[in-house]
Amino acid sequence: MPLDFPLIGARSAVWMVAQLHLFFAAFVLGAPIFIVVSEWLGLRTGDQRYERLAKETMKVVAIAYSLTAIFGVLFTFVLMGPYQPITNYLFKALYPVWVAYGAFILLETVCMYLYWYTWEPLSRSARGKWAHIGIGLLLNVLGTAVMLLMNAVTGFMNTPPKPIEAASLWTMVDNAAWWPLNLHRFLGNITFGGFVVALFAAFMFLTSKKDEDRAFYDWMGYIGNLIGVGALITMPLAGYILSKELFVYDAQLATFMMADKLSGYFVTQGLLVVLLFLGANFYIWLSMQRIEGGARFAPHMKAVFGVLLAGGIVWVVPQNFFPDLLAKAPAGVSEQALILPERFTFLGLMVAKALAVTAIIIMTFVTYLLYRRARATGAIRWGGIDPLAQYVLIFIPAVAVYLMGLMGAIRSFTRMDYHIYGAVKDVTPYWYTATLAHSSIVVAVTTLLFFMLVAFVFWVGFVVGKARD
Amino acid sequence: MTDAADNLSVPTWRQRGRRVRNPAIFAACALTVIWGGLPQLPAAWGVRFGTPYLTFFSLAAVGAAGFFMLLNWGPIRQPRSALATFASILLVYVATVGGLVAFGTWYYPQFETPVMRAARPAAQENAAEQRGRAVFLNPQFGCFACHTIEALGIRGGQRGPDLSSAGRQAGARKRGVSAEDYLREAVVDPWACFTPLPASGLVECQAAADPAKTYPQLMPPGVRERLTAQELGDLIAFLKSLRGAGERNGKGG
Repeated sequence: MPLDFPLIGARSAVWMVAQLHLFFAAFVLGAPIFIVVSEWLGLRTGDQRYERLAKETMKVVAIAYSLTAIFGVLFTFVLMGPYQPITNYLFKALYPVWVAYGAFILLETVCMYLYWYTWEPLSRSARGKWAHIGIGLLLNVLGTAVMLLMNAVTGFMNTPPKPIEAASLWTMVDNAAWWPLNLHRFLGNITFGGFVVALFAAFMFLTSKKDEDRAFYDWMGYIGNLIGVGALITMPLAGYILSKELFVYDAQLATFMMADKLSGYFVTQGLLVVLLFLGANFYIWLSMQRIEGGARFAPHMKAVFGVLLAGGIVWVVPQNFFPDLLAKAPAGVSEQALILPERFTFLGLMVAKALAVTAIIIMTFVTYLLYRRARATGAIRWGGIDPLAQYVLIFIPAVAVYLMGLMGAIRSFTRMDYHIYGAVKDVTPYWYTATLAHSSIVVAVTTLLFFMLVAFVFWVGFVVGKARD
Repeated sequence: MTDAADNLSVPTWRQRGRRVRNPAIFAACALTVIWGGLPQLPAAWGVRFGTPYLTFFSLAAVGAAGFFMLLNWGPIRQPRSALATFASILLVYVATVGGLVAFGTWYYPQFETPVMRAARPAAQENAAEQRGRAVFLNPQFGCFACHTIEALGIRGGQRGPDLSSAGRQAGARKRGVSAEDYLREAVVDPWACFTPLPASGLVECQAAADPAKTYPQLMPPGVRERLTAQELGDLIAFLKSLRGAGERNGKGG
């Protein structure tokens, strides 16, 4: 190995910088999708809140865009030293993809700045506004193209065509994981964008002094969370599709992911998904309290939460407590104590898990329907929400960011001890699958760093600016 | 729609205490049943859970009670200063992420991270066996990614069987096939005959994969292409020399 990274090692260094790049990238790709929709809704309905939501979110995107680029460059630097051979290989094998990636990044950047800086001038007439929305649409098309190109590289590393020596450029790009990854990340970016907007709204609500601002940020948090949860509901299905493609590509991966070294990761993933749904439902509960007469739905909602919690327990309960396929029970512990009793084995099977997650999704939908019902019969006191709800909107992105980091680690670890699965071996000292403990710490540190940077973006973009105004 | 002009009425601590009483009682009852009741049930009923599961159910019960406590908690005050706001947000963030780290590091069992420890000296190995050892330890081939040789202090991965006695066992794996030929086949064409699990009591390799009796087929493909004939020969010589702890080629070691 040509170089290593001091203290934390090359893998953790690459991992953290790449993950920070991806967090920001997910936000700057996901948020513009509903920024444009929001701008369009503002034009169509005449409700100025949509316009303000779109504009304020775009301001965050514009600042976050620089950070995305900075971490992208840092990622490349950190990667090129310790992982020179695989960097060279990927550049050689997929050179046209990298060239296209650079070109699209450039176009996207131009379009992003154009979209941001023409907001005021083009908002003076309806025709100009439509032109502005058109630029926004183009921004999304270019952003999606950038994502597709990078997913081709990522997918190629996970599921390269066989035999790789005879593969054409197109078969390398259109690999088995490409479209499932595109779908998964597209939906994930919307979820992520929604939750970060909700985080922003919560941050602004808690720092606002005026009722008018609180009313707006209360509404913005609600919309952000709604978008996040709406896209989140589709994520388990997209995840199944991606996993299925991996299994079809190589059945060995099924064992490795679900029964071997990554099984603990998936238990943690289950816990995180449950926490997200609980958080989202709790937020709807608190939102209900600010609707006149909304309290009358409380008993129904509590029953729904009971089912949701039961589903969560089934979803998370592990089939066994063996950390990998060949692990033995520790001294003094019987093997029976580490597996579900025979009568309850079904709880560890995918049938039960799938039913549980379906119940969770349906219950979340029911909660939302109850909210809609309450809203139809009573007025909403925007800004009158319990401030606890803002902490829920902070909790949800914390879990979402952590989940995204952990799932990124899972996707990367499914390559086992290969850089390019089955073709190019990882011959660095970091070829092995990291333990869940190690990954938890790396993901936690990355999550906290992301939060600090995002808080900085909010503070610079809004709190400082507002104080000056 | 109306803007919020009315202030939220924040309950007193006494009121909060009353509001969270029922979930607290539920948690206490659930913990009593989990730790006091479940272990007392007859083993024949097949509902005896091990301690990790009881811990899991306890966490779930306390978590569920905590969730209902939060539902009943009532409005809180908005922080009064920017510093308090930031500190409270950071607290939520750190507590959330910290809890997840605790789950990943403390609660869930870990597998051993393969670490190359100082292997015992190879003084008794002949030239071919020494070269074979180098092949085994070469990250390019990654044998130790999945295999440990406990007898030599080579602590590799746990995915494949420990090869400490590979040489001794190889001779008995397939009738009429020499140890050397069996090892060669096991490396380049492991699908031909599956290695039995130690707990199965079987000695001979099995023609068909039976997950209950044999190691699942996890050998990486392309070994034949990646190893030269010389490297393969050396690797076989090295594996053949492995005859268990303190024993080499039938001699004490």
